[in-house]
Amino acid sequence: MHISEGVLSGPVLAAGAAVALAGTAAGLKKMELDRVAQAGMLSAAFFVASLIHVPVGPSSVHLILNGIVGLLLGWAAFPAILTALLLQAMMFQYGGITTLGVNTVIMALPAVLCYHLFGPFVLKPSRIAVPAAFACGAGSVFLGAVLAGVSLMYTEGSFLEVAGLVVTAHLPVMAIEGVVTVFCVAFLRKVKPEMLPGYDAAFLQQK
Amino acid sequence: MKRLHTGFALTLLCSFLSLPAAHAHKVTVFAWAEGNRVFTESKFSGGKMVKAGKVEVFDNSGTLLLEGRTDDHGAFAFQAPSIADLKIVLTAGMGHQNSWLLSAAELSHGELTPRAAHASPSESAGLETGGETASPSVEPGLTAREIEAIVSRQLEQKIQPLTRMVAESREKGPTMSEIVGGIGYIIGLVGLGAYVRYRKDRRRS
Repeated sequence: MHISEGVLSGPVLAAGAAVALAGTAAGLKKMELDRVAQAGMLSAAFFVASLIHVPVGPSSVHLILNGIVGLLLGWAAFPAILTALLLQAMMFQYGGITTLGVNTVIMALPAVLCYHLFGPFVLKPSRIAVPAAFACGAGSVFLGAVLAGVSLMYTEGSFLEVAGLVVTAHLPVMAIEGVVTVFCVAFLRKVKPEMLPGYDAAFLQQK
Repeated sequence: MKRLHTGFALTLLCSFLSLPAAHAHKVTVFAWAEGNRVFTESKFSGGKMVKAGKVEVFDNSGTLLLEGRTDDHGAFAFQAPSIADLKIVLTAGMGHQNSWLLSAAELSHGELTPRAAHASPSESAGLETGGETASPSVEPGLTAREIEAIVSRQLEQKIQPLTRMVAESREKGPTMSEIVGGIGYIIGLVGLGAYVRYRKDRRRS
């Protein structure tokens, strides 16, 4: 889902950079310093996830893991993903420096959205939490694909065509990430539930 | 259940570690010339060929000379419209794009190559019929231009495997050192964050 340099038009790049900047500022402001280590770990996971290639479909797709990053970090997903993308652009030439902003928005904005949409449910009983976790993982990839379609429609023609293509290419990734998110949530519920969103609220309710 | 999770985490870790060959999301285009015919090859960095990717050829001033689509093997060939620097831009869809510069020096005048190709069978035929003469008797009949064409054609043939090797070595994906380096950067940033955090604590106390 990394958009290469020279594909997008100037206004799209500028808009992407502006949104990414705002999101990163918000993320840094909201991130408690105690959670820096967690953000770093997830940033590193995101950084290597892109190297895992899913050899299905006509194009070339890889894991993204923005669902998990969003679920565990909330707004801090913006700085975490920005950092990872910057390093990917520098080390692997994935994406590019000019498209850094747009790519950050494509992957981080869905992460934050899914955090707000599904985050409150992951500490609920399993029959609610499992579908919510799956939807969080798959949904953030889906929304990312839609955003990629939006940013490409100005240069590559109709939105539906481009978005449809990106979404279809990422269907296997959505399925995999949905399952991975379910596993991660199940694991964290047992081992370290305080990492999951809504823990404090759930804790207070129990009391 | 806990075992299962550990197993899952381990497989995930192993898949992270055993991935030097598996990488994605970069597209490369490589072009070389034989005579005035230009061959291009496009692939995703996972090694997958780009099917039906759009290839556009621009000249120095940025005007579009021609365009086409890659076949199932990621290949697209065209006749160079002129002997000039060519910029070959590949658009593989979904925001993947890359380009390759082919300098005018790599292109040779196309008319010579076919003539040279005709020259070689007649040359060998001449050798067979006039078998008594040990040295090639056709030599006087060759003009300097023709010799040049033959040599350049032969050279192209000999060099082609090398060009391919170079092309393939250019596409080395992320190396272990780059991956570990990237993670190192992130750990460093975390360290910086931790430093800021503890400095705040110390000031308070």
